[in-house]
Amino acid sequence: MTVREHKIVVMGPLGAGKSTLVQTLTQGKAVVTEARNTDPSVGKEYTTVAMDYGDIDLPGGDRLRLYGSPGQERFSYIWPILLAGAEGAIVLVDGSKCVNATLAGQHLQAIAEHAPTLPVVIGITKCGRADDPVLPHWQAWLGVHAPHLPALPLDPRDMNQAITAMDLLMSQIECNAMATADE
Amino acid sequence: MNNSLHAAAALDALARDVSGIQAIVVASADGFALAQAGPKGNVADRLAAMTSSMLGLASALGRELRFGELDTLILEAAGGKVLMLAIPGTQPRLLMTACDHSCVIGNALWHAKQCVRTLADNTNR
Repeated sequence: MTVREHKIVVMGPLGAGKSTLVQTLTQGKAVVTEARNTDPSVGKEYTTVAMDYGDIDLPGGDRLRLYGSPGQERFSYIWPILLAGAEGAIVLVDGSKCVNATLAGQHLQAIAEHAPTLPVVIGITKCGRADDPVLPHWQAWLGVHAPHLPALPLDPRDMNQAITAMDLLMSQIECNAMATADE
Repeated sequence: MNNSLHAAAALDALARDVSGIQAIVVASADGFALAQAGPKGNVADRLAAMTSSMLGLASALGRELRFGELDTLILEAAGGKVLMLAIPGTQPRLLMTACDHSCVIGNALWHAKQCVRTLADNTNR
């Protein structure tokens, strides 16, 4: 039986919860590349400088290879490297931030530029309980920046919510594959 | 002499003592350019971020292999060589030295390590 590998990239701005999501899904076994944050405008002790990486064996013998990107624009050179060969991406957006201040658009732009047909799911983090609807001001933002992408509230520390987001992405990937096969 | 003058003197000495220097950048561990020298200093911001990523990956590799922290990276390409070194201290920083093919790697490494020692002694206390 051949093992199918699925490369998934987690993107989004600094502090949105990318490393946490990768650690949750890999049960704390991901490889991290963190350095002490020296940017005083960001209340965060450590920041990812290259990537987080972890793999997960899926039921049925497939394997998920999960790459968490660094969030800051100065590391944008690495985004297309991580996106190369990816089957899907989860873009995290810090929902506690002012909607006008989010830099998540940069990440969606990078995907549009380097992997325009990539299936993407948006996870809005730090915005309350998982059963809350996505807040109205974020819905307006999504309408402008990601009108055709599925979005869900997501606590990246919660395994069930992380798996829900991943299931949603895998469904997107399968739908895209079926649509491509029909063409 | 204050800290920034010490750093500038150390970078100038490195640029003088190694032939074919293209760029020297001191970066914070999280990828901000703090000081630069050499003809390609105009791309210091990008080089600082890349140096941070490369040494971040090298450290992860060192942990994976249980080699401890890897603090020196040597890259060789057809057109030149790059050295990336960690500068120890309470605020760890990084030194990137890029030289063209005319440099001798052992010579560049020796001088880069001297520079790291000076920077660690003078600006990390």
